[in-house]
Amino acid sequence: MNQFEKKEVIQAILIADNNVDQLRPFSDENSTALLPLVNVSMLDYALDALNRSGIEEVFVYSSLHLRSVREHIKNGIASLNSWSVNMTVHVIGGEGCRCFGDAMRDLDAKALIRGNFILLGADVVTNADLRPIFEQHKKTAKYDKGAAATLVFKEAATSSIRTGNEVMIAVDQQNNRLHHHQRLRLHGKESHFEVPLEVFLNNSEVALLHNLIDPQIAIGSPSMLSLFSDNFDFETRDDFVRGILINEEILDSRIYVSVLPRGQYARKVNNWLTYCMVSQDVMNRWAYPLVPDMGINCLAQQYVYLKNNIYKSRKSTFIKAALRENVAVQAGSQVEAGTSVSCSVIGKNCKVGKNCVLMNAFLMDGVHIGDDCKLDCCVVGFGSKIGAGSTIAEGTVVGSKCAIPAGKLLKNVVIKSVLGDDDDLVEKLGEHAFIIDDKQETQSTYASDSEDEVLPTAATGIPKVARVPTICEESDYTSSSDEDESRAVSPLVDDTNIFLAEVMDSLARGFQEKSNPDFLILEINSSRYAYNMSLKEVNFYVVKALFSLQDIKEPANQNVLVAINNVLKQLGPVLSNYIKTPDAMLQCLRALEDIYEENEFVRSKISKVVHYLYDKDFVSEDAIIAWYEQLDVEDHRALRQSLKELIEWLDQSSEEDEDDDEDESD
Amino acid sequence: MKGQPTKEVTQLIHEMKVGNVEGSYNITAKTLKLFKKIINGPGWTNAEELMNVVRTQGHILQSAMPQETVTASIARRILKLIREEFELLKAKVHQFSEDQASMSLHKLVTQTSNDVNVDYTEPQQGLREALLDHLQEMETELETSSENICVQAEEHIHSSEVILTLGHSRSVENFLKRAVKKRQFLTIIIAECAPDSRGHNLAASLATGNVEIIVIPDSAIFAMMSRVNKVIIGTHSVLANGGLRAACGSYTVALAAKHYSVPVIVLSPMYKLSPVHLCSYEQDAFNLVGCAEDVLEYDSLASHSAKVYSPIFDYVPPELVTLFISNIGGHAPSYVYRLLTELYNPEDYEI
Amino acid sequence: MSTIFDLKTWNLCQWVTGSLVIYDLILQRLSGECIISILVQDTTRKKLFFIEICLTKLKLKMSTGSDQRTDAAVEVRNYFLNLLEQDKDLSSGIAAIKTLLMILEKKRFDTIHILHTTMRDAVAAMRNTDLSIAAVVSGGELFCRFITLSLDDKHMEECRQIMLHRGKIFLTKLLNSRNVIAQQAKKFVTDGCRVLTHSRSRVVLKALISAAKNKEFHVYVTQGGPDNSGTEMVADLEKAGISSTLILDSATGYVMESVDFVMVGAEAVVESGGIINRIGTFTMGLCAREMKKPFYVLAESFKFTRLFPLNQRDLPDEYKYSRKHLVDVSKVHPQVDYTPPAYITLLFTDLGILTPSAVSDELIKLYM
Repeated sequence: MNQFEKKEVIQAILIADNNVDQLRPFSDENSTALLPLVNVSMLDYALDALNRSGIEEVFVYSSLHLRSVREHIKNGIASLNSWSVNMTVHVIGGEGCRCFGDAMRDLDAKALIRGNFILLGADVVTNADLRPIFEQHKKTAKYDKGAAATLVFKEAATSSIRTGNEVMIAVDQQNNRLHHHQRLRLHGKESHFEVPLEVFLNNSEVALLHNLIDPQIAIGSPSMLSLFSDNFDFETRDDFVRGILINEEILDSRIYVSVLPRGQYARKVNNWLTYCMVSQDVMNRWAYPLVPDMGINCLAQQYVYLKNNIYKSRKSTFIKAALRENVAVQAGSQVEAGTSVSCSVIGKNCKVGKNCVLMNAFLMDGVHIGDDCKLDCCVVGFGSKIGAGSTIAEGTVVGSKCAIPAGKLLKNVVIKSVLGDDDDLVEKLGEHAFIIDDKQETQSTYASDSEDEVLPTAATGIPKVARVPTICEESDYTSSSDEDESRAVSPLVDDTNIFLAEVMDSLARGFQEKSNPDFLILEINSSRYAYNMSLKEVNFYVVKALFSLQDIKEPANQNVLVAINNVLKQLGPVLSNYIKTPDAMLQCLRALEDIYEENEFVRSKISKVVHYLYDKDFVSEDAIIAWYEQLDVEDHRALRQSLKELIEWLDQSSEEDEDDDEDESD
Repeated sequence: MKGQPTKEVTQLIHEMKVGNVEGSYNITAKTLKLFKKIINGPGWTNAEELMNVVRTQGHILQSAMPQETVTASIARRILKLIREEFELLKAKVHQFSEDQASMSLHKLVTQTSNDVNVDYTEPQQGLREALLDHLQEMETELETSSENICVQAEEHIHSSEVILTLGHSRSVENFLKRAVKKRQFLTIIIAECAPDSRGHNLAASLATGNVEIIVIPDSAIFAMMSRVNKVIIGTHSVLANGGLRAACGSYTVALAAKHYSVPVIVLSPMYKLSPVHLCSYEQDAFNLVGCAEDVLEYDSLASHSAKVYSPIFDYVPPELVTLFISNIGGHAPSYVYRLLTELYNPEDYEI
Repeated sequence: MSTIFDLKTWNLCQWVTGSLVIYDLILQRLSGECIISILVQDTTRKKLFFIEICLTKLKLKMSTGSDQRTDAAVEVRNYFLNLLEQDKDLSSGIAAIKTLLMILEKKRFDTIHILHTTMRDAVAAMRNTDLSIAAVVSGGELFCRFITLSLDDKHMEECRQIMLHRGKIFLTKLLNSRNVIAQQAKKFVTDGCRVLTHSRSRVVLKALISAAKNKEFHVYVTQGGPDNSGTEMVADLEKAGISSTLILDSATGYVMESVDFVMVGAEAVVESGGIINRIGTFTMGLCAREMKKPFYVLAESFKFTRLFPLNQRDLPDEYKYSRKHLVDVSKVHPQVDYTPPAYITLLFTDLGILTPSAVSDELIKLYM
């Protein structure tokens, strides 16, 4: 029975010729899909990934350089590349196709796609198994007829490096539907994001994910192509996504999201920076089994794998050269004595001279580097020659067949061998080396969020090869324990300070405006509950605040007693409201200790102050004596000294007025 | 040796790369079928041509997947078979009785002619049929190898024993299942073998009422070793000096066992024997390093600055192995060289 | 106490016409008597004499040079020593086999028995040189063995032709043995590795030179006293462009932790799989085992010999000491030592890469 069922052949579309601007000058000469990444062209990676997912029919769509892509595919099938087994590859192309949208419209017109299909760019490096995601999409499509596409994302550590691949999306957790999509800016961090409120109002479980990379892999339904045909303003993928999200009801289509699980790598190479990052990832074996020593585009293994991720071809020669780490060297290449190579890729038949330093350098086939050169974070194209003693650094891209004269210092420039019509010449270095202007306006695809935010309009060069900075700053980790402690202490400290400040405020205001003490008491009470202060603390701080009033702090005529008298005439009831119990009195006196330290006027007249309080019945004699006793002999000697007389007098008077005092203190 | 692979060879290599065919047994079975087809096919007229074809295809298979030594081993066995059959048939015709066994001092000394090599280009009748017969025997041997190993389970495992194993090996699984059937009160400790944790599969498959299964992480191997009576492990391949290329973690098990004087029994059917020597740990294609994400997540902060190394195989030196159990019986590691001379011709060691 | 023997007192005139050339002088102890044997040649008559002076009894005996055996013995010795003079690179074992082959070619034999005895005498003559006898013994014995193999009752002349033919092939194969071993051993030398070797071994030299063609590595060579042949080895290595260091023999323990493996030659391979090699090899083996470094031995197949020493004393004295010291060995140190098979990881021979346990197998196959 089964043999009569037509076996469903999964189809895939590979869009070549992406990112033409960002990968200059290679995009001028050849298709970006054929750009070698660790000596294997990117098209091969994509095809291999599709093959491993069991795809059986692939359409490679190319508009520029159609012939070279076709030839590459033919050569691949002839030399029995692993992707050619069990998979048929058709190369189709059309002139006059300037963007992604045009390609999709063309494909729709040709009507080659029968059902759900997988869509990726030819510049994606992935080892993901797309079958489960495909099945999931089919299931979703069964329930929801309007499911246009499922986008695939990969979680990554958000670093300070922006490559133009990072997105922020809002996803409904229940059905994985996409509600908001924003591509993060390439230059500079956004200060804020704007998400429409309806996203949260209409859905109960929405997650905002901002740590995702968009490798631009998608599973599309047949309706996706027709949507492109219907809407001529869809030019890029982002347009499509945004258009669908905005015009949900009109278009009756929805987009779903799938995040790749752990162990499956996917990244898109859209500029030289990502080219560098993906090369390093491949050499570090994150994209296993797409690793250089597993023979991606040929049957036999090409490299010998040594520790520190060094991939050496058996036919390459090293004479006393140091290969540090993360290096891939292809057959026929020669590295001379004294050179040190690390984190670099060297293509076929290259020759590197003596005493060079190569770091993050990507050399294509047939490159000649002279002696004593320093290559740091750069790309050198096919067949170029770099003269001796040159320094090429900071992301310079040298095109193919250039000849850089000796002793040059090149930083952050793009060099071509032949000047084209629409290249802006900046400087001529030699017969086959022209520095061209690579500046471009920042893309307007990044939605300008608000009118008052001024987007940087200064033109910047294309993102180039750079070292990915280590992300962990020390402070992230070392101070964690300190943070915990300080966090435990600070709320209290903060709160009491704020409370004190507020009480002082209230009292000062009350004093000035001569307001009703009851209201002041109300205010202080509300502050107390706001900051959750205990009774003791309240008493303490109220007294402190009182004595910190401006008038007492700097009394007129330096007569603090008069000042205190004035204050207490007005705010006495406040004080007596709080200072009722012996405990409270003790707190009051403790506060006075502090004031003693802080306020010199009070210091000089401390006994008089205490006497005054005693006279005004704010504090009782017992309290004063108790407080005096528990004053430490050593620490508060001066204080004790000043109070000695008073205490003696109190003792005496207490004997006399015992009954009176007892009555009073009741 | 440059040559074009046949369609089947390409198909097999592709399936091995993609992961549709995995495990030494499956690969061996498929390779045998492949060579059977070649022998059956029309591409050769005499022994020399056939040997060249086999050699070329074997070389292609090996350079595509150097770690899978079973493919090259099958090619070597077939080459030896061809030589033997040829000489047998020739001897019947010409009544010679030369023992063209491996190179030896004896042979060195008794050569009668300058031309050491027998002339294989003579066409020989009945070679094809004889070879196909032998291949059939090899296939049967392959299919019954597992059973032959299991039969020896009773001799080596006794009741109330504590056995330690690592990861998930088919041979070990069948061996232990047979032992569980015949013996009581066994305790089997399974080290899970990170990062794939295949030990869990073995535990699930062995769990019946009759045996106690304990699953431990790899770090607890040394701690548990003092209580273990025997260690039984499988291996990926056996090297020419009697050492093993086994799953990562086996060296730990072997060293711990040596420390506590626990015997280490290795189950390995004959097709896993390979005449490769370990020259150095840096040797090309000795070890395979797997995916970095098995060890560290890509979205962790350390992933950009740390180097991640996840080797798939371990080398266990022959001193640490007590006994090899294969489908033809048990033998000591120092005897492996003898088995090699019986299986392969030294001229074919370099394919 | 020294005694001067005045040869004039003994009447030699009847035997000697011209002047005497002394070829060899041997001091022997035979049946309780101390005898000096002097091999002299009369320059005019070209005759060889043996003068035997018995020291204990102070008697002089002369045997005439018409003794065929001494003639032959001298001839053999000269030819043997000549071969070694001409080609410094030739192993003494191969020279021995070549010599035997020469005898087979030149002499006439009537019976196999005479052939046997001739061969045996020749081997004995070659043993009487001052060179290490291990290789000579094993090579010679192998050759003798092969002569006696599978010779059906054919005509003597036919046998001789067959044996000559075989012999030549045997020799060709053996001459190539060093290449075969070098091919196998160079796989084990990796880029950037450090090798330790003991004194001078031509096989190891050849293997290292062949590996250096496309690899970079460093070699530590021990001096190999008392003749300091390690210095020569270092010079040869430097000439071939291999960086090397000469170290003291006593520095083996110090340097062992920094090397990757040890590679030595052998003068003989014994039945147990152990080796006899220049003194100091055993120490190196012990050290290597302790530090868990592989110990590789490179030896040609004709060095396999039918000895089975159990310890150092078991080794026969002729192997250890030169002839002149055999009288009193308590005051001299040996030239070679025995390394048991437990300390050897692998043996590289032209028969393949063998484990020590495989060696006895090979020998059994030959001699049984």
